This record gives sequence, C-alpha cells and structure tokens, in this order.
Amino acid sequence: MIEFENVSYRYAFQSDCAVKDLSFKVDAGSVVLVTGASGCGKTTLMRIANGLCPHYYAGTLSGSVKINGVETKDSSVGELSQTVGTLFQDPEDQFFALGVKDEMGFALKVAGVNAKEVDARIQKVAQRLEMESLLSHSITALSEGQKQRVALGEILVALPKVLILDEPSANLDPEATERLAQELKNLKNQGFAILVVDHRIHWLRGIADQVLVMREGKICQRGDFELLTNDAVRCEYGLREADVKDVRKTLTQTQNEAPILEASNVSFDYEKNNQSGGFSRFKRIFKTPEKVSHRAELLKNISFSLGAGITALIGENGTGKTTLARLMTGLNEGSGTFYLKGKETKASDLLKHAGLVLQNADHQLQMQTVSEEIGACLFAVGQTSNLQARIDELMQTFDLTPLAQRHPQSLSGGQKQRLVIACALAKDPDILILDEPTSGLDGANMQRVARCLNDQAQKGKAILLITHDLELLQLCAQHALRMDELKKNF
Amino acid sequence: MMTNKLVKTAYWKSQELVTIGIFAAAIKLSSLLIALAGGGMNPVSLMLKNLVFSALLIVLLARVRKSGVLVVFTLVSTIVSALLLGSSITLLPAAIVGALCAEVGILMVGGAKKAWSPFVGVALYDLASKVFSLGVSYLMMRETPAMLVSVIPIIAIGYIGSLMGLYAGYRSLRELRHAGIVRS
Amino acid sequence: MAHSVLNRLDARSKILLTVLGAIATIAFSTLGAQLVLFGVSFVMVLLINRPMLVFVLYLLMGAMMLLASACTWVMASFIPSLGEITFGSLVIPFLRGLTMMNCVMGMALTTKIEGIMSALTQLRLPFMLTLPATVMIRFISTFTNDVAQVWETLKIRGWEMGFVFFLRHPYLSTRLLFTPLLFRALKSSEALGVAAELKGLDRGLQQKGAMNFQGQSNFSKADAWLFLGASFTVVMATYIELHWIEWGLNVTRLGVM
Repeated sequence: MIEFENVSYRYAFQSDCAVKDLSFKVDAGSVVLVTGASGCGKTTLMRIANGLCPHYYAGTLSGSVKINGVETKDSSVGELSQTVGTLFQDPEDQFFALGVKDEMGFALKVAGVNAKEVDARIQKVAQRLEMESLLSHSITALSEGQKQRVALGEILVALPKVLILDEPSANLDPEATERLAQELKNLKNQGFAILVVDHRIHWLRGIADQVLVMREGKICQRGDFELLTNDAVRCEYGLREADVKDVRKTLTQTQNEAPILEASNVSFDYEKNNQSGGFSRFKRIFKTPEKVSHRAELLKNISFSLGAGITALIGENGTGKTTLARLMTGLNEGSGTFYLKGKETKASDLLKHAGLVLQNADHQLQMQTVSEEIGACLFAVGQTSNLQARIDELMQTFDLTPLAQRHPQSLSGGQKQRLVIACALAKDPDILILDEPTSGLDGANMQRVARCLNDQAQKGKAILLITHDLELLQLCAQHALRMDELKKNF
Repeated sequence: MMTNKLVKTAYWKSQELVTIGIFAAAIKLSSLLIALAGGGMNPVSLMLKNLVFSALLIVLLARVRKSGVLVVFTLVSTIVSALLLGSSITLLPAAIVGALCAEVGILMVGGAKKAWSPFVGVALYDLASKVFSLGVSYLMMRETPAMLVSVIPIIAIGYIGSLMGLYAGYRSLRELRHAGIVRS
Repeated sequence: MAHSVLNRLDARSKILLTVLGAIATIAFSTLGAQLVLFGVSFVMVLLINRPMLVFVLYLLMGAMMLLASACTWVMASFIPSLGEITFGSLVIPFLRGLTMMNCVMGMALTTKIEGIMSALTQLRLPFMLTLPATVMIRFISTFTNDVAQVWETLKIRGWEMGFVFFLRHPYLSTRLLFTPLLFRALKSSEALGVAAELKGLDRGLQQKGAMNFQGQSNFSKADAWLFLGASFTVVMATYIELHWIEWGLNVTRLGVM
C-alpha cells in the first residue's frame, strides 16, 4: 500500500515546490492512475513514492509518505526497493546486462541471493509472463514490448508488493499495450498496489480504480475513470483521449492522381544487404546481435504511390516498415525503380528529396543552440543565401523563436520534437517520413505535432507516418499504406 | 530526516561506478571509430582520437569528483578491451602507473573536488601513460632502438591531441552548463 | 563464431595466458626462444578455427611491420648513430608482436559478447570493477547502434560524411558525430544510476564484493592442459634462451642481457 498525507516536495536550488499538499492512497489490489500535462508534477510524485526524492534527488520533503506502513523518510532507496518495484518509460534505461537471463537475475545476485534460488525465481516469472523463449536472447535484440516484459520480469523476481509504472505504454504498439493491460489486471488480482503515471490513458479503462489529475504540482481532480471521459476536463488539463478509435483498419488505401513518389517492383533483401556497408562491418567488430523479432525482412516486388497528404504506414513489427522507409529515403538501395514526381530517380538522388525524423530526438541534435541547429541543416544542403531569414522562418513556423538561444538538449520532449521536424524540413524535402514522433508526448504537444504535420501536408508534401500512437493517426492520418497489402505480390 | 544507521558505507556509490562504465564505453567506441574512419597512423585521426579521449575523460572526472576514478577507469577499460577487442594487456601496467601519477597530481593540487582537478588529472594521465608506454615499447623493441625513435613522433602527435583535448574538455563543460546538465 | 576447443577455457586461463605470453615474450631476447613462443602461440591460433580472419589479421600486422621497418630504415640512413638495422635485429621485435597478437586473438576471438558476463564473473574481480565493466560491455553495443543512427541522420540531412570530409573538417565532423554520444552517455549514466539505486546495488558494494555475483565455475581439463602446455613452452624457451643463444644463426643482439 502507498499512502501520501499532505506531501510537498521542493528540489534543491528551486524556490517553488514541485508538488504541493498531495494526499491519496493506493491500496493493495488496486490501480491508481496519475495523469496530467508535462510539468504537472507526476514524475516527482513517482520519485517520492519510490524514495528517489529526497534520498537520491536532494530536496526537502514534508508530510508523510508510507509504503506498507513504513515511512519512506526512514528507509534508504535500496531498502524501499525490496518492497517497491519501478518500471521506467524506456526499460532499456534500467538494464545492466546484455543477456535477458543475466539481467533478470542481476539485482538478486548482488543482493546475495544464491544462484539456485535466482534461477528458480527467474523461471517462475518467465513462465508467468510467457517469456521463456526470450531468456537466452540478448537485450539489444528485443522489440520494445519484449524489453518491457523483461523489465517487468526483473522487478517481479524481487517479489515486491508495490509497483510503480512510469509511462509504460509510451513506446508500445497497441497489441503490446493490450498485453500490458492484461498483465496489470493479473497483478492487481494478485494483490499488488499499482501506481501508474501516464499520458496515454485509454488503455487503463476497466483497470484503473482511481484517477488523479494533476496540474502545477497539485491534485486538481480525482475520481474513477469516467472522470476522464469528460471532454471539458481533458481539455482543461491538456489530457489525451480516454477513448481512442483504432483507425488502422478503416483508413483508405492511398490513391493518387499526381503522386509525388512511386515505387515499381522494388525488392530488398535485408539479410544480404546487412552483410555489407561500413556500419555493418563496424557492428560486427563489436559483435552486435541483430533483432530477434526481425524475420528476414524480405521485400519483393513492392509497388505503391505516395501523394501529398499524410499517409500512415501500417504493419506489425517485423513486416518491413522501417526497411521500406529507408528505401524511400535512399538510405538503402534495393532493386526496382522509384519515380519522383514522374521522373525515374536513383537512391542517391532520393536522399536529397526526402527527410527522415527518427524516434530518438537526441540522436539528431548536434549543435549548441536551437538557431545553430537549424542553421547547420541549411548549411549541410548548401542553402547559405538568406540563411538567417530562413532560420527565423522555420523557428517561427514551429514556435521555436523564444527558444533560439537555448541549448537543444535543455528543451522539453515536445520542444525537441518540433525542433527535429524543423531540421528535417530545412532542406524542403518532397517527402517527409516520421518514426514515432509523439512517443512520450502529452495531449497538448501531440496535437501541436499533428497541426505541424497537417500544415506541411497542405503545402503539398508527402508525409509518411510510422507510429503506434492511435490518437495521432486519428487526428491527422488521411490514408494508409499497409504492409500486408504491399507484400501480397510475393 | 534521513536514517542515521551505523552501516559501513562503501567508498564507491553504484551511480559513480555506473558513470565510469558508461564513459569507458563511450571513450573506447569513439577512439575506435576515429581510428577506423581516419586510419590508425593518420596524424589527424591520431590527434582527434586523443582529443576526444581527453575531453570525455575530463567530463567524467567533472561528473564523478572522487579520488580513484582514473584507476578504476583504466582497469575496467583495459580488462574489457582485452576480453572483447583483443587489445594488448602489455599496456595495462603503463596505464595504471599513469593513472596513479595523475591521482597523486590531483591530490597535490587540492583534491578531486577542485574546479581544475579534472584538467590536471587528465593532462598528467596522458603524459605519464604515454611516457611509460614508451618504456614498454622499449622493452618490446630493445634489439632495434631505432624503431623506438620512429614511434616517438606518433606519441608526440597523440599528446598534442591530448593537450587540445584539455581545451575541448573545458568547452564541453561550458556547453554542458549551458544545457543545464552540469551545475557547478 | 566458429566452435573451437578454446571456447571451453575459463576466462581466467585466457587472461593468465595472455599475461604470461606478454611477460615471456618481453623477457626473452634470443631468436630461438622467440620462435618457440611464436610457434606454440601460432598453433593455439589455428585452434580458433577461423583461418580467414587470422589470415587478414596477419596481413594487417605484416603491413604495419613493413611500414615500421621502412620508416626505421629511412631514419637510420640519416642518423647513423641509431645503429645498423639488420634482419636479425628486426625479427625479434616482430616475433614479439606476432606472439602477443596470437595470445590476444586466442582470448578475444573465443569470447562471445553474449558470454562476456560469465567471463567477467569467472575472473572473480571485486564488485567495484565488475559493475562498471558490465556496464561498459552493455553500453558498447548500445552506443554502436546510436552512432549508426547518428550517421544515418547526418547522411539524410545532406552531410557528405566520409574520409575526405573528416580530413577537411575534423572539428566539425567530430562534433557532428560525437556530441549526441556525449549527451547520450550523460543521460544514460543518470538513468542507469537511478536504476542502480532502485535495484539496491549499493548493498553489493557494502558487502565487499557481492560474493554471490562471482562465478562458481572451476577450472576444467582444458584449462589444465593449457597450463601444462604454457609451462612446458616457457621452460623450453628458457632453456633455449640460456643454452642456445645464437641457435646457429648470426644474429646481432642489442639487448639488455
């Protein structure tokens, strides 16, 4: 059980409290959802519950926080971790070992549990979570859903009574999210006290017993899940949808009279092409294993056309979405022909007309200020005339002007996402491909990204979205390219 | 109010050791990448390799302000490199001696918590480990001392890179402060 | 990775062999002793069962040695006081290098990255070294993928990343490629540090090494044979070093002895 009574917390070097006067309870056998816009204090609440505040993040805690009746102030984080398990948004952030089995037993072995007992617990949990087949695999070869199961398994082998989940659905596809929901239900029935902090709320319908909505460090609304079905509440607090339609099956197949990009009988053998190329050799030096979920990504005789507007690229994990995106940007070269605005185009030329926004914004930021970052992208494509005017224009389009002199790494998630999209558009590509642009973003920021994409689509760009975010698809996707349809020909 | 239990606390915190491990990975990978991209004997890549090495090491010492970081880093890096990449273990004694010299140097300028200690530490570490590695090279090539003379320019170019890395480290720390990642 | 009898060896045996090889090859300075060390280590390399890779590494080593010899010869021509360069005076340093390469190949090429954790635990190191070593191994893979993604981003953005660009703009190319890596390292250390705290790893440090984290495996027959072979080699090399100094060849020795 988690009990908060009149809890306030102020970080060191801050004048204001990050959370103020919080009081709530999470009973054994129940799930409490805490949600709110970015910066509302959810993360601090979570850190207080698992003892990171004040033991790890120096600060001042007032009020009473109890885990199973024991004050957290009187225990170290290590002691609390014997009762409380925390699952991070990105489970890879908490992995120490390379192998799944090594990782699951890591903390137990350090704590002095003998090897036999560790093995027994791992086997039991692996059976429970249906992940026995993953035990012999490398962490780096797992899909996001599989990584999360491993992280959850690692927590469960420690036999906690309380679980805290920090945005667990952020990186998951709808199917993995559904699976996670089922696992939470099971854990709840087994008597765990579960605290979930998340922007995405729809998947907790029927699971969350209580909902707390936060703003500016305070709990502003509390109730059951029905509270979140109120449009006014969601609008006021910048929340995502409580009920999300899965438009993946209903989006119309893309049909274009004036396509921007056409592919004719494009084929690509992932296995063969993975053996060559500079980075493949480099990866082999470090013996980096390939994804276990990846089937031989064979694309054979794919033909499609892409026009102006927003098209969702839909398919299960391992069906070749990323491979197709890489072919369309010219990063990989297969056989077959691409036509750009009716003209036959080589892979190296496709590179000049395509932009790609990867999921991890941190990989795409290199410079010291926001302004420099955009300027560098313009410089890279030789657009040095009227450089400052073009930088100003892009910053204004993406509402980045007040952030011009900020370091890109100091920006929030939503701000970074807008910046990397601005950078991708710096070279004015005809095709823009985005891979999970809204993972981890709250409702307001997700809508902002959707608006940006709609604006660009109206300007005549072909935008291809690879995303698990059903709300984003609902908001802006106009058409679909389905991998199973494309692969019908072989 | 935190618990005041009488428990013997270890010198190292797990977070500090984790930071050392992660930076050791970043430093190893960077060196290898530059060597692969530019060629191992290319003067530009030699300097850059040492520049990046020194700059990253300065950031590490700025993050983990404790005596012994260089020794742990050297041991961990050498063992893992030997196991995984087949790096020569003959360089370990020279690197350890270099690390110890650097630790003593840091202590003499006021300890690991002083603002300049990362720069003093890395400068001494680079110099001492290169000098001692020359000693190891002499043992390997003592039948032909002339070969040692041909190695000296390579080491000298590398050390120039290390010195440039001290400035790069200073600029990196400034940028990290701008980004809000390093406070002091 | 091809299956080899060397895969059965304990990691401690491999490290000890490498250290022994280093000490022996540096200590001995006669051609005979070096040939013995090289010969035995070469046999070990053949047991790795990866002839193509070994061949390529030998080629690279040969090229390096040729280059070093050429530079040395040029310098000796201009600076006579450096001494005469003969085949004999070059062959011993080269044999040292080759023997060392054989020893480290025997270790690195028979240690899979997936098995490296068990190799580390077999070494019975204190936890204050095992933890950062584990993390280093874990993150080498992660950072490799990160750098590949950064490279692709740069390519898409229009940067002509390559050898020429690297030489013409060394500072810019280093910044473009390594700035994300630096920030990734900092963020990962923060996140993993939190995870270490939450997993109670500090307890392991307080328990003076987390004894249960160390390997339980003992040496096997293969290790015993390895030690026997290594000891015999060293004894033979020592005998040759002491008694067969010239070994019938007119080798100029400019060593310490």
